[in-house]
Amino acid sequence: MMRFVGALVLVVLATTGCDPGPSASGKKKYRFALIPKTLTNEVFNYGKTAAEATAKDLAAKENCDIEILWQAPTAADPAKQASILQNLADQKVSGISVSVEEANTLKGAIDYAVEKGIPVMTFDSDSAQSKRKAFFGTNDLECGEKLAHFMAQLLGGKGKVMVQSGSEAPNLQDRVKGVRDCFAQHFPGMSVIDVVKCNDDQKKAVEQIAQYSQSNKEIQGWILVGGWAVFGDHGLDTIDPAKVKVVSCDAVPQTWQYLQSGKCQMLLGQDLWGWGAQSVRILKDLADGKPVTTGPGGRVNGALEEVTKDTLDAFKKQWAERFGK
Amino acid sequence: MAPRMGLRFWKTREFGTASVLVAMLVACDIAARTRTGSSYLLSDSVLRLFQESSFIGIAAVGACAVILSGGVDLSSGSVMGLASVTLAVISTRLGWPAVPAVAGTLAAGTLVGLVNGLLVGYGKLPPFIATLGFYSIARGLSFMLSDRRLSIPRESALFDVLGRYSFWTMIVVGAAAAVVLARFSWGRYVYAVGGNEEAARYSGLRVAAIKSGLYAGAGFCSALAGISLALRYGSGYVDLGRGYELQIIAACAIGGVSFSGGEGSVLGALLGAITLQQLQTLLIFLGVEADRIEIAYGSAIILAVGLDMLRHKNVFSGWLRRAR
Repeated sequence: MMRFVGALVLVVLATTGCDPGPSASGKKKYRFALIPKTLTNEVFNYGKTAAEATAKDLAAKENCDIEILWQAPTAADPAKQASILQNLADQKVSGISVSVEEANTLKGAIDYAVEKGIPVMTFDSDSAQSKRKAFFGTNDLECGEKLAHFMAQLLGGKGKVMVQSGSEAPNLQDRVKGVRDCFAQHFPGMSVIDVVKCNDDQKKAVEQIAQYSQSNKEIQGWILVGGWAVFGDHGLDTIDPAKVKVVSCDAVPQTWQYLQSGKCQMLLGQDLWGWGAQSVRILKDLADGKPVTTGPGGRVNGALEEVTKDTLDAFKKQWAERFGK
Repeated sequence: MAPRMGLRFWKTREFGTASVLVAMLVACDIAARTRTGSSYLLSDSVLRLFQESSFIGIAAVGACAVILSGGVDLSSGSVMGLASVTLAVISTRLGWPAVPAVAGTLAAGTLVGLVNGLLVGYGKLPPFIATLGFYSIARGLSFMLSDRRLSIPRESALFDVLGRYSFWTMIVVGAAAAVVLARFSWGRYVYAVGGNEEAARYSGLRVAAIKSGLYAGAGFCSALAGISLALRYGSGYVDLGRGYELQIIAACAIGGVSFSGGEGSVLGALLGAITLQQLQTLLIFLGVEADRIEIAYGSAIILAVGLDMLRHKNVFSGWLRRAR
């Protein structure tokens, strides 16, 4: 009897997970899983908003049901992220889009899901060596280059800067590389003093800027490849804009105050909307067996927008239209 | 009498920590003058040092009392995060005025600490296990309250004071705890429980109740630290304070609070918090490369605590005697 019940449970589990399939309403049903690096990194929440809005729009247009599963570790943990991805693959979701915390650790899990016939793509941060079908996100080398280029122009092509990163995530490493490459190729008078990592911790990011600025008067600029230090108040208290320039990735609402105060000269806005919206669109096409148009290496690059004090009002308006106030 | 008192002070662990802190401040000043031509001690960096170390310091007051009783609190960083989100939710979404919002948040933190204490005191769970559980539970509760960063406008005077003057909050909380531990019988009970729990029980002390109170106090302090940190940076979010429990415990260790219980003081824990912060600054001023700072930081903590233990055991005096 117990064997029969066990077998029945296995059969039910195996069949109910198969997607896409018809829902109770008779419509085709899709269950797309999106896995950010962590549940607590707020920039991903904008992607979640976009994914849910796009799923609703697409479902209405194409007369189907689309469910978004949003799952991730609560702290950056590539092994846990890989485990979540494999569990979702075992549940036979219709597609998975993941922001890769560590490329090698996630490669095995991505390949496992693809071998099970589940379309997998990456967003924000890639695992290019894996069998993922596509990547949507910032061209991180270009992101680093744009930050470096703007800084070099601010300093007249000659100066010494610090770079602040968050962790060893592949996208952040690429941004730092982009900064170095830009200086090496276009601005030989510019140099990077050091690259500091704040472990994605806001307090530590703020302290690092204060401590290094105080200890090294040669610093003429800070390039923040992520906005940890400017996600709250008092992030750039120790910066004298007459002497030290700051450019930062991420142009979310908490960071706008630094453009207004003149402490930061440029925020580089990533296509956060696209993380969620393009994930849902591409996964649906993949699930339906349609071709997906990508660039070299399966990449689809999101737009990067330079936001300055002069363009902030227009950017705010565009932001409110997408994410609300 | 005076020389005896002086000798006694020299023998305290707090003196050791204070000496290390002063030495690091002087070293930082020399490095700053050499590298930048300006003084470190005469700049506003010292004020910032006190401000930035106060968040760990406030939480370390409660953690110190727990460690004195022979326990440990691994949930302090998560309670800081929970407090920041709770404050943000009840003050901005629910629209509570500042005083009840802060009181409610402190009550929430105290409640988490109390449950920890009941599990340890009455449930006989090892402190490591009980507080490890709440390390996750508190973070999960924060996430349930809000998965987004919520801005907390510092419109009220109370919010402004708590965000701006966290160093003085640390001093007030530290002084109150030090007085309770040193001058009240309840404080002596804490040392007795940490020194020998069985003996304390046979002496008629209500060990479980004392432990419950201590963990509740630690929850209160962690919540206060979380409130101060959230108001400092103007927002509450689930990730605030992640990993800080280790810094809080390290501050106590550097300040000479014994992990076998019954030995140490709040003053030591506060000095430990400031010393830890200063250590990070010193390494930067000494020009240690960014990727080697973590190694140097960890090594320096082991060295500082190790040297203090040796000094406390009079190893140096023994060496000197033998050398003579």
